[in-house]
Amino acid sequence: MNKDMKILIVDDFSTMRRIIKNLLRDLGFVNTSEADDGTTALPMLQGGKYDFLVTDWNMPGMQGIDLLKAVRADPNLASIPVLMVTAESKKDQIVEAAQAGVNGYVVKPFTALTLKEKIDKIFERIEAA
Amino acid sequence: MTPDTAEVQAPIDMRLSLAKSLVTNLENGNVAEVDQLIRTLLNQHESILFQEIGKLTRELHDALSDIRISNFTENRIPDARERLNYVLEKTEESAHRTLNAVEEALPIAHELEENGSAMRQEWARFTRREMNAEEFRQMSKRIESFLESVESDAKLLNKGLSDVMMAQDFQDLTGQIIRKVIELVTELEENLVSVIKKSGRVSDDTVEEGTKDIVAEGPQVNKEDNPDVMSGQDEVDDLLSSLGF
Repeated sequence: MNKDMKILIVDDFSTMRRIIKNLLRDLGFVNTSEADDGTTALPMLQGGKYDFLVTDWNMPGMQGIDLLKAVRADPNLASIPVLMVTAESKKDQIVEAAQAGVNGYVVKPFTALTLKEKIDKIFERIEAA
Repeated sequence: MTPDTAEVQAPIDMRLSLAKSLVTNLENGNVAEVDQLIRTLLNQHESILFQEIGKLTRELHDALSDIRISNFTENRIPDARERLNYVLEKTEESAHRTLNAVEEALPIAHELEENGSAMRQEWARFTRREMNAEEFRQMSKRIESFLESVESDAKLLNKGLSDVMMAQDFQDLTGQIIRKVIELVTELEENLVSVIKKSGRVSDDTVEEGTKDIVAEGPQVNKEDNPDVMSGQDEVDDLLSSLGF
């Protein structure tokens, strides 16, 4: 796993963005940017050569699930691994995210260890493929 | 009351003629006729009033079914209560998590400071050549165990700080909940305003400001917009001292 990879953190709550940013830094990932919803995130992704997207679901403006779908629908972005970190914890929702092509799904509240495990798993799979 | 003028004009004309004939009959002393006329006038007044009340009742009923008041009372308000209880629990839990981590970390930081300071003084004695060989051997041992403890203490402090950070996740979780409750309150307010507008015809002179009771309100969330709310401890202290405390 390349620790210099460029990561975009999308959450409407700045406190949660800071928490995720700090956790990623603890894991050695320092190349992170932030966006507060899908509408802001999408142009950043399109213009910025990101390697990994961490997004919330429930946000004003463009929701995380729609951002995920937009990413998968864009040929230039379609292969970016996406981790959802969200309080949405209904079965239907997780199924929906999986069908839309999410790579990992962390339910809030979560621990540092959970985040690490999910990220490790995503990149193990990608490197094995 | 301001019912349509056309509806009102006919009864007014009628009452005027009744009143004129009442005066004539009074002047002429026709007691039986006078009683009859007064009864007719009263009946008419009552029937207009009942019609008006009936109409308002109908309108209020329609307005209340429009906002599906049962949906609010049966589902959404209890749901909001639950959500706010969740906020209460979540914020309390986070505050305790933070305080626990701080209470564990503070003595460690304090001890590090004390040991570090003692170590520095010993080292200063050594560099001033005030230390004999035996004292030096003992200092070396203490330095070794101090360095070991620095390592393990730093680990504990790291863990404590991470706990404090993770405890802040409540802001996102409760923020989402509070947003939902704000939406509900706004919707309910808009609906109630529309009901009041529809029934406003009777309320013009009945709306009056009741005496304000002082009740507990919890933390003030909109300090800037409310000049009655203190912005901080300093302002509270100033107010108290102006009151002679």
